[in-house]
Amino acid sequence: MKRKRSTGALFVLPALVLLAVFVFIPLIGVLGLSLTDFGVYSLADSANLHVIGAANYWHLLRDREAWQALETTLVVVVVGVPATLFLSLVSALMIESIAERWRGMFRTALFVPVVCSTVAIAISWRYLLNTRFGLVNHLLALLGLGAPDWLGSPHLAILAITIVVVWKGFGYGMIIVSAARKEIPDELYDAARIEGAGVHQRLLRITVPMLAPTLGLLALLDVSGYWQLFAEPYVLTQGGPLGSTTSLLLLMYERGFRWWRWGAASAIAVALTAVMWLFAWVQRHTRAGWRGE
Amino acid sequence: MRSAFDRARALAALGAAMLACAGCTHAPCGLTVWAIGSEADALERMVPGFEASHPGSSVCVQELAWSSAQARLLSAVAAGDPPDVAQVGDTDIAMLVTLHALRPERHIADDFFPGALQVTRFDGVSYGVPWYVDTRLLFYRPDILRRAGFDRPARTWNGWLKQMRAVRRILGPGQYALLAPTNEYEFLEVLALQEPAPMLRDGDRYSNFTSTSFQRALSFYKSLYQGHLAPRVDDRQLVNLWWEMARGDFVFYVSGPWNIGEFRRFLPPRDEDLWMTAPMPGPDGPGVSIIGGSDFVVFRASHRVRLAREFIRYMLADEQQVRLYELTGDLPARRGVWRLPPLSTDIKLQAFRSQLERVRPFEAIPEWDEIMDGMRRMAARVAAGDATVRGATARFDRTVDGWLAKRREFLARSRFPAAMPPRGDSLGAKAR
Repeated sequence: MKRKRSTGALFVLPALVLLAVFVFIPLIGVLGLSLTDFGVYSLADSANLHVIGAANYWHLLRDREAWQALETTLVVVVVGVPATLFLSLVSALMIESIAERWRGMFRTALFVPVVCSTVAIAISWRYLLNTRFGLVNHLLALLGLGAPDWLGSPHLAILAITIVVVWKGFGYGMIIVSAARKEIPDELYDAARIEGAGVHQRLLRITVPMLAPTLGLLALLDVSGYWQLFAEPYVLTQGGPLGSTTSLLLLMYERGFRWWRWGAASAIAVALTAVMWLFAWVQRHTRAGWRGE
Repeated sequence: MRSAFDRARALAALGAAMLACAGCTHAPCGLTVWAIGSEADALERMVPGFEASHPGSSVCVQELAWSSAQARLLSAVAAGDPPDVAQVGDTDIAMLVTLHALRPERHIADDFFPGALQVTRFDGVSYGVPWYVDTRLLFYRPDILRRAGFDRPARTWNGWLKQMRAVRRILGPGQYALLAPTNEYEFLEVLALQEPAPMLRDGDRYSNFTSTSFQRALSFYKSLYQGHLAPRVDDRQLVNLWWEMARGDFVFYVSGPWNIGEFRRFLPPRDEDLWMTAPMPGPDGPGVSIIGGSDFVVFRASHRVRLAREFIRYMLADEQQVRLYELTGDLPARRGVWRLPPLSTDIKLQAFRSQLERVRPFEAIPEWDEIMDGMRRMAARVAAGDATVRGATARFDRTVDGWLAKRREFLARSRFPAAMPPRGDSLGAKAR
């Protein structure tokens, strides 16, 4: 027994070492860095490195760009996650309702964006959303609607980013929901039908509650994914126009890897981690409430 | 237990062997050169010539991307493992000099454009050799300008403004007098440099964006967008700006030398007369512009300094400078090369030739790129009408002062009085 346990530990060891080297140690390092003013000048001469306590965080609290980035990221999370879940659920259920032989095709079509490179997708969308020559505005014109400046107007740009993110993400949830849906025993539906439950009642009383744990898991994954929004605005808008699509991660990237203010950038990373933890905590507790129902 | 331990040890030994061998597959490099983007391709094509004229030497060119070159150089320096020679964008030299990473350069040629040389110089010592240069000026549509009643672009801001307004009257809807993309800071930088007061003051220790000079430049910039002479677009929103320019969607376009090649690539030869170049107009006469480009630098950590210098000397010879122009469209940093064809014969290059004589160098400090990027974002707000010139510059002044705090502390600590990073102690001795 003892032998087995040590063999097991040995198997886990490589993963633990990798985690320690690439996750835990850097995490502690970032926390430490966020309390300093580490930058190019400190690299030149360590006499220029100071522990400045919470000053980076204090600056962050009074930094309009940081608040704007928080707001931007929050909008994508708050609008994007429910939209993704809704589309995942609806598309999964719709695909089940169509003829068997077409299912594979539709499922593949909706899943393709998930596996495509984000950069390629962002570039394609940049063409689709072009004000003058883009397909989106062309279709809007056919409907007699105006030609909005998708990536040039601050309010629309963040909406456009959210649309792209949701469009890329919902296919994954659809696959998971489809799988979970198959796990619901048919007897439940049969029983409900015999009791006289209609389509809507079956959906709301059986399908949705039975899928709740799955949807909860998806929500958790989407929330943590969307908080780390980076590639879409980086490629589509570079954070503009007027900073309206600069996410927290993009702001951190700019400060850390373009302007070499590692101390300040680390503070953003830690703050983002804290916010995500807070969200996960709230989510866990509301999910616990769900389950208790 | 024992067998598991043995297995782990065998694995560890195997891993160590693999690590040890990671270095053994490399071909020996007599000289490692890091270059960026298309310049790396061009350099690779010119290396065989250098190797042939220097028997026994071998040069390895490694290509970096523009977006990550600075990060790569910085990490290499921080890790103590930089290349021997690198191509460095000239706003990035200040950072490497601050890190004491570069060797002072020796005299290579007499005929560099003075502006290009000046931005490599810190405390009177040059740390880079200008390789190619870059500036901004006007691309324009001579035919439309003639239709509006002018035979050449104006030399003053007022004259230029008058031309843009006149041109605007004969343009159709969705067409503009000027294209100056809002995601580029260079146009506003040019306008600001044309004004007398510098953007930073007291040896680049404090921001000077509230000066009347800068406010005048920003007001002019703002009036172009607010007066609908220029669209507030960034160039990623344009599908094919060369084609759009040929269609007459823009009459003036402030841009750099690479666009000569791009116009010729995207437009058919019969459209060659649809576009022309002209120097920048200024507040009250021919205006200055910015100086950009790349330099060769030699790292202090290099043990192959002699070969490195020979390499640089070779690449700066007439023949290679012309070759670089032909391969990439990069403009030679040495004036003498401009007497040779095709540089002397291409009519569209002549505006660049004269503009390069009229440049004003930027403030060569590590924070310059950040300051310019911040300026661009601030100006975009002003151009959009979200902020006033006075309010935006006042706020930006405070921001930049904050960015420069670390620099002030650094300068106060070092014994050097001027705005120059100190040199390493052993540097002078080693460089002999």
